Amino acid sequence: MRRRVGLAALDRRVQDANHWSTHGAALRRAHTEHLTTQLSVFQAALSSFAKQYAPDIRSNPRFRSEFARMCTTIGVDPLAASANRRDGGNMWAALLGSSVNDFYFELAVKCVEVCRDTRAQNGGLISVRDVRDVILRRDKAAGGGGGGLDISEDDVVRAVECLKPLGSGFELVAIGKTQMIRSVPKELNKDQSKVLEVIQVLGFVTIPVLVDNLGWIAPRAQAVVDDLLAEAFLWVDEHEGETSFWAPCSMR
Amino acid sequence: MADSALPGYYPEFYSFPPFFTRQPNAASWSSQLVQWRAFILAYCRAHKLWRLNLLDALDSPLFHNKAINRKLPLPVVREIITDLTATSNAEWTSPDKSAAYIFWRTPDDFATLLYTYIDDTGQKGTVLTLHELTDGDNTTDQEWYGMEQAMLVRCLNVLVKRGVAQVFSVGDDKGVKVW
Repeated sequence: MRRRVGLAALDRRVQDANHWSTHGAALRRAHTEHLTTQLSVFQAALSSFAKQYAPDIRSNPRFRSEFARMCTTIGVDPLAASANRRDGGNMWAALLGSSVNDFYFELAVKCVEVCRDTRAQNGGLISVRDVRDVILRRDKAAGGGGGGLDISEDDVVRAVECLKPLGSGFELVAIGKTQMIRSVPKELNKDQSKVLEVIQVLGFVTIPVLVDNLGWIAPRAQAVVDDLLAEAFLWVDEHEGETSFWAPCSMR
Repeated sequence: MADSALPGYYPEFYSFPPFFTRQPNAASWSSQLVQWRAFILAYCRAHKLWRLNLLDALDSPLFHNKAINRKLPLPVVREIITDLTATSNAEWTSPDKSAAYIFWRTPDDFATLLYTYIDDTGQKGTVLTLHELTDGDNTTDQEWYGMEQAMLVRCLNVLVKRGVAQVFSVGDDKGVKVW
């Protein structure tokens, strides 16, 4: 290439820069178009998938949780998406119809009901599994209808999570290996969680058990247990002079 | 822990040892009380038990879960029955509170049932003996079948109060006429 010198060199640099930027823009455009097509193809696929399997999504808990996991993996939250359905046709609400969203919202309402109803028994701490069992039992009792709905613990967890924006004080807490729903605005401190964890393993605790296993001094163990009793998280069993403490939330 | 062999009216808490200790926490106790009340009524209904003799009942499966070796103490039983009397679901038969009639339906409800039965069978205006009602051949599948006479009188008195029945003596037995 003939090297230009003088002022022409400056011109050339400007020209080059122009070329590069046009080319860049073209590339970007092509890229965007490509992605847009891909996304719309994907949307269409997901939409037809959701439509085709809507009944399965509704009725089959495993299928539903897989579907939800798939959506989460690709960064789509079918639940959050329906929140602003009213203002201008949210994509997901439109795609999935209201069936999937409503399913979780209905379930969330049922969870709240169960938590409320059992609060006097368990002080507001109940395992996800118990909630599920109660809901299933009630659905059955309500005439076996309800579309023969089957739900999984995973569904319950998802439903409770979608209550979070309401700030209603429903929270998932892990105690030991069990997922619990706490429906009272009380934080469990470390000691209290520990006691509940031990109960999950042993079924119950006594003060000596806590002293021996956790290396606590008796007054500390007593204080923690008293706190939990006052919150109705624990029940007392007096038997032949021995006092033990049990948790209704890990009854089974 | 849940024992699937138990009939459905046994509460889930039946296998939960603290269920047999009166809970010191007021909230837990009120929940416990609700469950015991329901269980006692359901148990008596299932066993057609009209009169609960507390000392005997203490050793029955109602208050004694042998599987977990727990027994509800007598004072607690008494407290629960007393609570039942407040809603007309029980009535002490003696001042020392050692036995009580258990109305798994309140006398009011039984009165309505009796009235409906008498109406449905076209026996309005007829004199029926109490024995006929509680032990007759025609009432074997009625819920009050086998009810103690004193309890039946309590129920019929509800009808008398409503102004639709009259109770009077017929020889050794009593009779009732509904209109």
